[in-house]
Amino acid sequence: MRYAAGVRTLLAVSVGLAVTSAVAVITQAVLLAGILADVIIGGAGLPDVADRLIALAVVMGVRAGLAWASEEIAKRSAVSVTAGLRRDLLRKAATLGPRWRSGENSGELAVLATTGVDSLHDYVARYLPQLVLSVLIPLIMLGYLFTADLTSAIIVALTLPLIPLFMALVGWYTDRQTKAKWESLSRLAGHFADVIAGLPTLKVFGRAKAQAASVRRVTEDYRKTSMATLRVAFLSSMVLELLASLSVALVAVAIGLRLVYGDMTLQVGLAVLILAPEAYLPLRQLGTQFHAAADGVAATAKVLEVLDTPVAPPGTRTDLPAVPGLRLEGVTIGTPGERGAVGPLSLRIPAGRVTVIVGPSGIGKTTLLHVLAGMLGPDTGRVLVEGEHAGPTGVHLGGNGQVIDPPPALANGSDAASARLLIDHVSGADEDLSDIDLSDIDLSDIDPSDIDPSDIDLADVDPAAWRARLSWAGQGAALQAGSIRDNLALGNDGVDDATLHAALAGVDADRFVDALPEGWHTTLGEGGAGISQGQRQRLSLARALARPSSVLLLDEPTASLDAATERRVLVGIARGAAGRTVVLVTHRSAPLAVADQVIQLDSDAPLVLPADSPDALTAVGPW
Amino acid sequence: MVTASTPGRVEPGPASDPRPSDPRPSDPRPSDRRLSDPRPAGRRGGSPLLRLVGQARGARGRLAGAAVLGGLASGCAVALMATSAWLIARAAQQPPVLYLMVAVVAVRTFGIGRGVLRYLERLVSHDAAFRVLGRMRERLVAHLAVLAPAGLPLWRRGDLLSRMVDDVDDAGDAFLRGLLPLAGAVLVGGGTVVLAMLILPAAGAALAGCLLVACVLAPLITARWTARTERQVVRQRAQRARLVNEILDDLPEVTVLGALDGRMAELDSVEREHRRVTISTARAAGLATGLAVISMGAAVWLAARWGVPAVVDSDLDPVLLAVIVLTPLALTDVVQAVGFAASTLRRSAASTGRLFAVLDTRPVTGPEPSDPLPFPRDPGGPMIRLRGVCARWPGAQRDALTDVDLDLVPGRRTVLLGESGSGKTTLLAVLLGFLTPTAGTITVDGADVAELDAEEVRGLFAWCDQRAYLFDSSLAENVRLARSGASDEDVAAALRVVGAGDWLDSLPDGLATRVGEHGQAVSGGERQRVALARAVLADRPVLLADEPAAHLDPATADAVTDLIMQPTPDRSVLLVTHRATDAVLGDALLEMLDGRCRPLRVPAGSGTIATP
Repeated sequence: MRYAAGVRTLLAVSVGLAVTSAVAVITQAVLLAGILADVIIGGAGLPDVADRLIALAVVMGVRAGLAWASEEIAKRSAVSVTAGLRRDLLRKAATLGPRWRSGENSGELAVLATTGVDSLHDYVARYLPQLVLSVLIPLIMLGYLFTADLTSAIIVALTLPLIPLFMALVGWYTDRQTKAKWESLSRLAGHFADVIAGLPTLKVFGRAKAQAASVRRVTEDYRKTSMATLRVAFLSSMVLELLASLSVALVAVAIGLRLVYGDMTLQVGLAVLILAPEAYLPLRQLGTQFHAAADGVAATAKVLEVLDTPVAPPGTRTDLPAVPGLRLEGVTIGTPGERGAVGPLSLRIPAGRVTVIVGPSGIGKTTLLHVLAGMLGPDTGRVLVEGEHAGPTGVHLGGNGQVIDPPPALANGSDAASARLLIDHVSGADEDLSDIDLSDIDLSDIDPSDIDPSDIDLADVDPAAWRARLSWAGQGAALQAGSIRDNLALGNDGVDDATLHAALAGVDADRFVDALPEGWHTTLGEGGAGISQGQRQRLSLARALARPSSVLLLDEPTASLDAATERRVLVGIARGAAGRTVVLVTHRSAPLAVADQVIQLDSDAPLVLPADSPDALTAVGPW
Repeated sequence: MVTASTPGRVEPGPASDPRPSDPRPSDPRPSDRRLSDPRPAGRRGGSPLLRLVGQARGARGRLAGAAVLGGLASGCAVALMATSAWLIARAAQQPPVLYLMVAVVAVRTFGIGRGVLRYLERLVSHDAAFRVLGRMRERLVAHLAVLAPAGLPLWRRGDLLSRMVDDVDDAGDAFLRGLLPLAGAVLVGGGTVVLAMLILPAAGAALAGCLLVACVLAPLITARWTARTERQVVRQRAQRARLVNEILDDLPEVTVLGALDGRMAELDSVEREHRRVTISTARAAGLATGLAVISMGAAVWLAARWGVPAVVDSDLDPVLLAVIVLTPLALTDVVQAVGFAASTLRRSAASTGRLFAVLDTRPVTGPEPSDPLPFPRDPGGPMIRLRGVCARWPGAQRDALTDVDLDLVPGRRTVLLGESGSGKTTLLAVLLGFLTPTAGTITVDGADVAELDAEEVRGLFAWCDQRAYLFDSSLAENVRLARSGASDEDVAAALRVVGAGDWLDSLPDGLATRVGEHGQAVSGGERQRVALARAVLADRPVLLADEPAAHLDPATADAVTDLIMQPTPDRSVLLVTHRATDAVLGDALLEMLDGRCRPLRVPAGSGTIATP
């Protein structure tokens, strides 16, 4: 993968830089120690050490250049890696469909793709190179020390491994302590946020002025408890610092004592003194960077979780009916009872009819549309594509020609079946619906029947073929920078002007478009900027209607419209619905007027109501 | 318009980012100006960070202590190197071991000292930061209590609220990771320069110059470059966040239309641009790092260059030559700490600035009367009368209320219909004294509310919002805030009155159940019943209900509305709604249209609603 390659390059470069800079540090130490020893003991003057001073200046220049290079290269690589990762993440998200956006994951993916991937920047730019340094530099330093002075090398060799060991042990132990610290800090912030958000309420009840003292008291309490925790938590870092600096002190004292007895030369002593702290430095810095990297580590885990989510192999069947209907059988998404979970749902979307779906927010109306669009596979149950005349399954009732299909749950003989009522009222949009009497319908007559063998499981359908059948107009208008006409023709190459004009007129969008100075050649800004939300929504709807599709999925298509416009738009939708299977999700009551069938999603089971039932009206209410 | 931050959307920006090493710009998004928009008082002078230090009264001693401890801790590292250098150089002259014992002890002491002092410094600085933050939060809450809720858009925009909370944490960071390390670095750097000066003035001067380059010039280069690219980076982050949100939000539509590739290409071009800018910043960061390294090298080199002739001329003890040449090597840590501190301070300066912008915002309500009239206690009252009231939100172009007349009479239930944006909520804000009218009068039993104590006027009203706010606390406390000192029995009784008895009985912990953000999830209906229980417990003569059923399903909405509209002889109710079905309720019906109020139905036998 591209981002992995970027990381590999960075690591290779880091190894090169680390080795070079370790060599430079050792050279610098040897030169410096040599100069000092010659002057202090040998009584040398400036001319004697001039050439080594020049060499020292060169080495220092090299070290500065290496520092520059490693800083710049790390940051460059980080930006490439994060950009690549973001791209792959979004591609994968598109393949996975909206599952990651539903339920409690809502918004999480967007956060992951923006700030989450950004937090990888520090992980890549700082932590990874530092990791390389903290493995290589101590090893190289140790190698030099062993050749120069065995005693010091042993002191360093014994204490050095203690640092990562202690880091791991202490880190493992203090993980909980640190978490406790952050938890208490965030609880503190939480209380503060709570008070501020609730201030209007407190003010009405005359309690606002007392809150300042309360915040102070709570902060004071938390300070006391947190300090008790921190006293223990900070012990760990003390141990680490102690190890690093005490061992340097031990090395220095050991050198000093041996020098007194003439057991070693001053040059070696000084070189070892200069290099001993350098052996510990990268590890100590790693500890500092670890904090910065923690976010990145967490984000990486989440990104990989998304990237590694298996995708079911796409279906291949393309032999779809011209105007498909859909049937859900015991479909569930997520764990029942949890927020964002849907189902089990068993219901039928009849071909060529308008089905309006209502229900309280959060019940899963939009998720249902995602399932119908084939972007979200059900966790259990299945979605079947039916032909226009699929299933001789209806039970004909008395004179007025209503057809009641047996609920599939009944057909399956499930226990939950009795809790589910499924009454498909199949009738033309233009038919007078007022004379339907629910009492005509006798459920005991329903005859469980077989599934039509011609039904196709949506999971087996080629996604591209299915998408070619679909039009979608969602809550977000999905417009992009460009002319209005380009936006209307998006995904509908070669559409002629007349079709687009008709679609615009159908949703009452022709007048405002014509009124624009450049008509539909007017350029919209990013995200459709330049026109109102209601206008954007109508353009999106016109685009969906103009697309040669047989299944129209509409998610709250009238949400931002005033009542009069809504009525006109609904007339357009009803016209556009001819010969199409339409599923319209709404909060409002007006769209019920165009429904052939109303499905009310409830916490128990979907209730399918005839379009004109008074229950259907109250179910929606004028929100 | 579209790129302006929308609540709930992902926004770019490191406001809550605790990373110390990130030289990203703090984000002056368009909304920043809006936060302080209402009435920014004349800017009080001084940088926000200086004002933050000014806030630290009471913790100053501790902060100074923490700075000194921090300085001593880093000083130990420098002293360890200096004494070791002396010890080794002197030992090479092979004096009697006794002469070295002091140095040996000193070396060991400094070896231990750094860890111990750093530990103490951490404890003291965190303690001080807690105290400063406590004080900051206290001041903010006290000031926000005056501004709430009309003075700032905080309460209408959740993202601003959460960002302000993060800003306070950032202000804490300014101390812990910014000002204190900086103070420590100044102490150590200064101390080392003084030491070097005493040994060899030329080396001391060289060290001072090199430290200035490494600790002042290098961070300044980074800061300047960051400032130059900041606007571009912020814009690119916003574009990227918008594109990501669009791709994910409109995923079905984008996929169905096959527009994903186009969107990804757009994202790629933003990323390419971002890469270009980042690389130029990376070059500046690299330059600054290289500069810091070379200048610290120069300090060592210059000390050697000038030290060697000084030794030859016997101006300098040869042992001390080792000290002045090697000591600067130990300052690498200090230089790095300054770089981190500088980037933390750049980030916190913006956060802190936003906090002071809030503290500097003046309330939108008029001044409280210095000598309020005695509050009218009419036995038949209170009779609240609005005449010709106009009101305007701060920063708005036009009045939200125009010439509104309204009477709230004990025993009368008034329904106020209107589309969203017609001024209904403004009317309630005016009644509650959150917003001062620009024209017209409001009287309570004939007394002008401008002459009355605002708290007492507010004491007339109980309030039920669209979505009642539940505090992260027990159920009992959430109701009890309406009347402090109410017994648990009173609280339970109030909950039963509003039909929450069954719910209460079903809770295993009863009144002690934690509700709110970290407690039990509470349904919309239960939430509104808690709000009504507050109103019952507060027992106030007027109930203001602002679309109490807006977020409820129809059945619950009806139940809640019925509770509110129960007739009572001595209480008045104002129900603000846009449910057309509510029009049949109540004794009087008014309609709000574009900030004007029009009576649709007047209570029988009453002429008290003036016709416009």
